[in-house]
Formats: sequence, C-alpha cells, structure tokens
Amino acid sequence: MRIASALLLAAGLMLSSVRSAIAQPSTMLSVNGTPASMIISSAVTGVGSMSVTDATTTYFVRVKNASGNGTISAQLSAPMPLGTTLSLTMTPSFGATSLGPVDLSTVSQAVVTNIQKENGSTLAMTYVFAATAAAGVVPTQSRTVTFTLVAVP
Amino acid sequence: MMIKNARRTAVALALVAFGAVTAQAQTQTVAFSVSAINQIAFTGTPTLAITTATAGLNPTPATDASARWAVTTNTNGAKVTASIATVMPTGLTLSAGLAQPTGGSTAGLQALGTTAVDLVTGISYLAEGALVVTYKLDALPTAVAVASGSKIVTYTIVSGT
Repeated sequence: MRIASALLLAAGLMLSSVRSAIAQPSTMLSVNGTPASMIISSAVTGVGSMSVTDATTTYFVRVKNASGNGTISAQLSAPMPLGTTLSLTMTPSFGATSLGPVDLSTVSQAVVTNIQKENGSTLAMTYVFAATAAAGVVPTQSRTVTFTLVAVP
Repeated sequence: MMIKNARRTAVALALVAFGAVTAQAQTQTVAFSVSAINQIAFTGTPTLAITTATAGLNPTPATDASARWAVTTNTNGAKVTASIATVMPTGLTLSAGLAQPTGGSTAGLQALGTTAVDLVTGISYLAEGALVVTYKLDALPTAVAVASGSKIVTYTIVSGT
C-alpha cells in the first residue's frame, strides 16, 4: 500500500512537472492592451513639435537562462505620415537594456536588448506620437506594430 | 534497440539544452490623428505716453516694441486679426503691427478699431515665437489730454484650409 502511494505521488509530481513545462515556455512575449487613439489637438504656441503620450499598455516577457539572450524588436506596417513620428519606449526587465525612445519605422529595430534570466515580468510600454506643424491635419489612421522576441542561445 | 532509443533521447536532450534561435511575434494597433491647430500667444504689457511735440507738427507719436507674439498653425493660409472693444478717445489713434512669421505677410501698423483688421496673412504650417509686436499711439492737436487709460487688444487667429 505504501509503495503504491509512493508511486502515485511520484507520478503526480512528474505530471505536475510536465504541466509546468508545457504551461511555461522558456521564451515568451505578449503585448497587452490597445493604446487609446492618439490625437494631437493642441500645441505649445510657437514650439515646433506637438505630441501626445500613451502609457496604458504593457508587455510580458520571459527569457529563461537556458534560452540565452533576448532582444525585442518592433516595426510598423506602413510608414508614418510626413512630419509625424511614433516612438516607443519599453521598460526593460532587470538587467536588460532599453534603447527607447525608438522612432518606429517599417524597418525592424531593437527596442530592448540583453534580456536574460527573466522568469516573466509585466512591464510598461510608452508610445509618443509627435507631429510638426508641417504635417498639417492628419485624419485618423492606424499602424500595426509588430513585436518580435528573438532569443539567441 | 534500447541503445538506439538512448541515442535518440540524448540527441533530443542536446537540442533542448543548446536550443536553436527562437522567435515570437506579437502585434498591437496604434491609431492617431492630428486636428487643425491654430494658436497664438502674446507676452508683454506695453505702455505708450505722448509727452512732447515739435512746434508746428502734431504731437510726437509714441511707439513700443517690447511685446512679443508666437504662432502655431498646421493649416494653410491662416491670418491674425486685431481689434479693441471700445473706440479710442477723440484725436487718439492706437495702431498695432505684427512682425511676419516665415512665409507670412504683414500689413504693418494698422489703426485699431472695434472692427477687426488683418495684421498678418498667409501663415502656413509653422510654429514660430519671439516675433515683435509694435504699438504706436498717435495724437492730433484736437485730442483731449488723457491722464491715463488702457485698451485690451484682442488678437484672433483665423484658420486656413
């Protein structure tokens, strides 16, 4: 009876370990939320650049030690209108490096580098939409930002 | 058979241990827009006093160029007008002129009245500051001496297209 209990316990522990391994991949990136529409409707009079900031969204990153060194890159689905920029700062996890604010473009650019030994953190993202007077009136439009986490062993 | 399985297992473990480059992608949608923006700002509190005259001529006008103005517009062809709420005392004329921002056109000194007059036109897609505001007070001999008085000048930026 004791042997049977011990075997069941061991099997249960193994099953638990397997579940943990399945539920927690060694590398993971998710972005949470959608920024509110960023509308520039006023300026500091006489100053060239106008901007609005959104810091309502977050991202979750996990890069476990065995997965090596991770980099998060971001790129836009289409160029920004002339005279406008969309920049992004991602708060780095402990030990990682933020390169923000990064002006996003259609070319993939690193935003956070050197992510390692990160068991999983939810961190802040800050977008800044800026426009010069030369941009003129820009009707509402959107861009898709694609984030890529690359982990190099 | 067992040895083969052991080798396969070892290979599989090695792949896990040394792993390949992994990549994951996520997306987020960002919406944005820029509204029509037409803003002006003025600083300074100019004072004008007519105290002298050259005999045979009207009293010597007083001028002040200490005030500054700034403008931001992201429209094409905005203009700035000016007016005062009540008419000037008899024989006195208050004029104002705005230095032109890049690309704009100034009308120079214009006499102010209760009807708005254009001071600068053709302001397009710019943000500039520290532009000079010039005031001038003229008096005719018929003007009654005024101990002191003040006028609030209302500037309005009219949006372009």
